[in-house]
Amino acid sequence: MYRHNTIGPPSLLQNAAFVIGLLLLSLMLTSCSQVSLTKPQTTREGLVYAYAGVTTARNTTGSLLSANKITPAQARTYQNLADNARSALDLGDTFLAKGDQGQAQTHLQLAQNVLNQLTATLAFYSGDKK
Amino acid sequence: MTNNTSQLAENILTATQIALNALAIAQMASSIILKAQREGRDVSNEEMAQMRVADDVARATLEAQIKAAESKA
Repeated sequence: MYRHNTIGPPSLLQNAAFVIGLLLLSLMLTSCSQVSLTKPQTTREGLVYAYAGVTTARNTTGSLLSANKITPAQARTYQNLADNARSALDLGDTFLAKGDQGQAQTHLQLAQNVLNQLTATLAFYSGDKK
Repeated sequence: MTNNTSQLAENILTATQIALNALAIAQMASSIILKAQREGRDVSNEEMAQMRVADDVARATLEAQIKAAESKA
């Protein structure tokens, strides 16, 4: 049985605490980024980070689904969007192997656009603001 | 009050899970890129394949979660 809203809407305090928690975790991630993450210098390095973004989107979708913050239909949509981003990255890598830097960059950018939209949507539901 | 606390705990758990997963994948990507940069080369096909495999696993896991949720709904 799908448990959506069986407990009732979260209070303002709950939402505030959750947002503060997310903020702290974001700060933690930012700190880690500053310590160990490095900026991509080549298209292939950009592809690596974008693949990581696709994987993170899928993991986040799974966590939100498990927490009943999104429906299975929404999760299916986000899975499909992640698939689209993945396809663009695979295509970009193929173009790169053929030496077509321009097409590789175009497909990397396409994937990043999809990922940006998907990440924003997932962040919205992570904040429980639906 | 108990429900509120339970909901709050669930929210914190979800946020923590999301952040830890994101951190693990970001660290994986970062270590691949750092290693390549330190060795003065671009990312290899094998390293790129590692990222694809990680995504394949995440995809299969999410697919199973969606199917399980659909069957419960």
